[in-house]
Amino acid sequence: MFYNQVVMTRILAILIVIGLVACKKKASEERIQSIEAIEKETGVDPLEAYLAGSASVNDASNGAFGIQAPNVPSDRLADFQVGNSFFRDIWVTAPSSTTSRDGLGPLLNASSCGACHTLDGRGKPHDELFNPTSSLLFRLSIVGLGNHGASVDEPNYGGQFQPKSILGAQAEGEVKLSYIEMKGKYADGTFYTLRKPTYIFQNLAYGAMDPSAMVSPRLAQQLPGLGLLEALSEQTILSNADPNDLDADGISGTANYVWDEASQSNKLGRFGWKANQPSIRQQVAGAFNGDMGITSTLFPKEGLTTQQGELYKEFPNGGLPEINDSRLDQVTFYCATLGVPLRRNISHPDVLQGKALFAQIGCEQCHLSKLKTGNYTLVPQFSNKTIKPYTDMLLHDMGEGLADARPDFNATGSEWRTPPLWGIGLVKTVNNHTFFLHDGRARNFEEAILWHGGEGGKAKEEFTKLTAKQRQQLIFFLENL
Amino acid sequence: MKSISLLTIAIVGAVAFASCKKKKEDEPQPQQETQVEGPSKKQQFLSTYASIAHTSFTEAKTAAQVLQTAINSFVGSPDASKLEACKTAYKAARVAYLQCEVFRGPVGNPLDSAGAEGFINSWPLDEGYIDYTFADNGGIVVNTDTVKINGKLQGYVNDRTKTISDVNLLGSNGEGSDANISVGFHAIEFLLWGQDIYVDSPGKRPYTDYVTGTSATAPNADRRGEYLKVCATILVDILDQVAEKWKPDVAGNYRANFLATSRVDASLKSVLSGMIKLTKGEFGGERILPALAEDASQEEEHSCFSDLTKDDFKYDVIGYENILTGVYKQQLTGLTLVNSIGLSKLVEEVASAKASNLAMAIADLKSKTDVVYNATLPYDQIIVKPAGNSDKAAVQSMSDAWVKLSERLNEANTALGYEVVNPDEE
Repeated sequence: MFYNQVVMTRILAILIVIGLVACKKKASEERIQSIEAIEKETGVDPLEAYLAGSASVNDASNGAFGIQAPNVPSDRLADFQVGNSFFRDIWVTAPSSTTSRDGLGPLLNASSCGACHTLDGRGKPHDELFNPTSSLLFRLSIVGLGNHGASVDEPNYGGQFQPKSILGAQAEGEVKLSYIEMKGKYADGTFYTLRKPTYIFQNLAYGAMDPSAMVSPRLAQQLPGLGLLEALSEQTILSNADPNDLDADGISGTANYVWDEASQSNKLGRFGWKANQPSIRQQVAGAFNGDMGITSTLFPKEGLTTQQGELYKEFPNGGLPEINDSRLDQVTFYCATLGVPLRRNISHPDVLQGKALFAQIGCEQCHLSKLKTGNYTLVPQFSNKTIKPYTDMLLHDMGEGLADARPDFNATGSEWRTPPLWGIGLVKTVNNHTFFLHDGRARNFEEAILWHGGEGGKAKEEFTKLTAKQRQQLIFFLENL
Repeated sequence: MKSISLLTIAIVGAVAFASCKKKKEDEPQPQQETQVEGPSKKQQFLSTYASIAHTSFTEAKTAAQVLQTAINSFVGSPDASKLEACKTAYKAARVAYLQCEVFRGPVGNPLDSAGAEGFINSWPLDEGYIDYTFADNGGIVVNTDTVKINGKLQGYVNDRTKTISDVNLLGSNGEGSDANISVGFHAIEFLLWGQDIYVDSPGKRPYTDYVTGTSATAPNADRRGEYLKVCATILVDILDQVAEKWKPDVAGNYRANFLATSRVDASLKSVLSGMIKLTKGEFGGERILPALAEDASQEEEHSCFSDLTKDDFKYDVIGYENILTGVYKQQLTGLTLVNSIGLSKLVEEVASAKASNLAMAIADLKSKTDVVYNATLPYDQIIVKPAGNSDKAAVQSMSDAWVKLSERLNEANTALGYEVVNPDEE
């Protein structure tokens, strides 16, 4: 046992005794013994489970993603609950008596945040009949560079495809999804199958789509831990960047710089599949605007093309803006303060083996397991914490297979931001599925790993060389993350 | 180092608390002797719960049928007094239904599963989807001209290309198209009262909105009437379906599974955790707090057309009281329909102090709710008042009393030997 762990255990032991005057002495002693036993047997520090330190949530139920971090002061619970109300409940067509909640559309992907981020979790890419759900949205652009380095919107359909509308407006069309199966082989001879999606846009209501249009599918991601990721300082994130791969490990890591509406300047991109949003607030306001047709002070105009704007100019709006700043702040606060669920089964031998393999084959080079947050004014309790998000928040070239061939600010068509993995094992419990990657093509953890290419290609190669038992162990680690 | 030890305190607190609680379950309880009878008391309570559920939904269905009859009569030959009769029947149907909301607790319960609740009580309402509305000015409806888009009135009622049928209206509530909440109590409320654009009164939809011919005040009266009738039919049907699932002596229905001997603890835990979460998060939280915000809009209330939100508060509380006391009384007649072992009795068996705490919490909630109920101003006018006045303080106290009830229920839950429930979890 390391010295540090001994010290930790002592601290733990003392604190338990002090903290539990009401509890029977015998019980606390037993608890200390059992913690010590875990350590002795496995060498595992029980604190390992706490991925977000004191912002971790002790819950593994289907509600696990929707719980406020316990270290957020209780006097801010009202903001959290109001934020939740506006996140989860639907928005309605204007004019409506519920003036705080109207202004939906004219075009939209969904009528509430929660419709795609079910239970604050991850969306499904398609239903049982392989029809895309509202959780899967499509960014559109044509070749060229727009304002502030953004991509140029497709002229007839804008920056994202909106397959739904309010009554009286015309939805943009439908997306047909199909998959091509591809076979591959592990070093031990076992075959595996991957599926690659193809999308066809049909019944288009606003004319033909530009033949050179670039399409990027994006699946709604789970929310826990967003505030802690926002609390990482730019310096910390950049310290892991190596855009020219100076250390020649085959892994570069590039920061995206994107337009920040609030400061009207370019800022480090943090959120979204290509790190194309600089802050939670802008991510939230952008989703309100693009996905639901709700305007805000950050995005005061409806996300319509000129043609659509002309068609729907008489449609009433839900106020200017449709979501006011205090509601926007509350929804932002809600998203920022969702705590991260604890890891499960941390001392299970297979989890321990899987964790070691995860590091050994190189996953941790991008899925960083230890970062320290900086000063965070939105939630001061999240400042200067050691967290284990399993991301470096940087862009990596993931190879041809995963590429969407659509640039997004500095991100190239084959670059994606390392998604955080904390809590990912609970997607199955919360959302009843295990569809991973930016478009949900991976049907489980195994396929998600096997899709890694480019900078992630070497780790994937190593994965295919593992024995079946080792592969299971690595996946078991992820299932308990 | 300092930050680590602070963090450690928080974590250790949590770990140790959990272990303490866990221990309680494992260790022999002081009430060991009485526990022989324990399970049967639990079963008695669950049976009461199921009976009250069945009675509540049946009463709600019956009241909805009365409303349906009134609506059919009104639409057949509209006049002012028949519209009043519809409104009276609507109020009575709400009183009965609100007492059913307590049954949204247990996992897989018939009200929440299969989207029933969404067809009955969806809020906020997409009223512009249903029928014409008045122009608003971003905060409050100011313009009494109806909204026209490309020269046409808004709403399903006014789009003669759309067929009004139960299938079509229900279909629009499906996954993905949840924008269009087209049915349920609040749809009926909107069709009876119309938009509330007034300071001193609820909506004033004229009965002539339903009259065809020269005295019509709005086009498409025939479709408006049809829409209203279909909404009433759907409401009755869905309440009936939910009531059926709580019906006694039906093999394989929800009630039968809920009361299965092998599931006593699972069902009881589910009932309690549902109550603990809903009291704090929904009734004390989301239904009230957005309205307490400084800049809340006037209609940040659930019954915004009829100004009956105070009723909503009052009869939701009665629903909880019914479960605690084990008594269900018809509100209009005072007739007792169920009188059996309530939650308070069950808790009394293991911890009488916790039971009296529960009784005090519900009594306090009732009195706090009465203060709001009896306030001179309608609820929407309380909402728009600046913070710091006594009416808004009363609303805050009502919210606090719900949260207190949640805490007391959690204590009772622990006393019954179950793990502490996190009320903030969805």
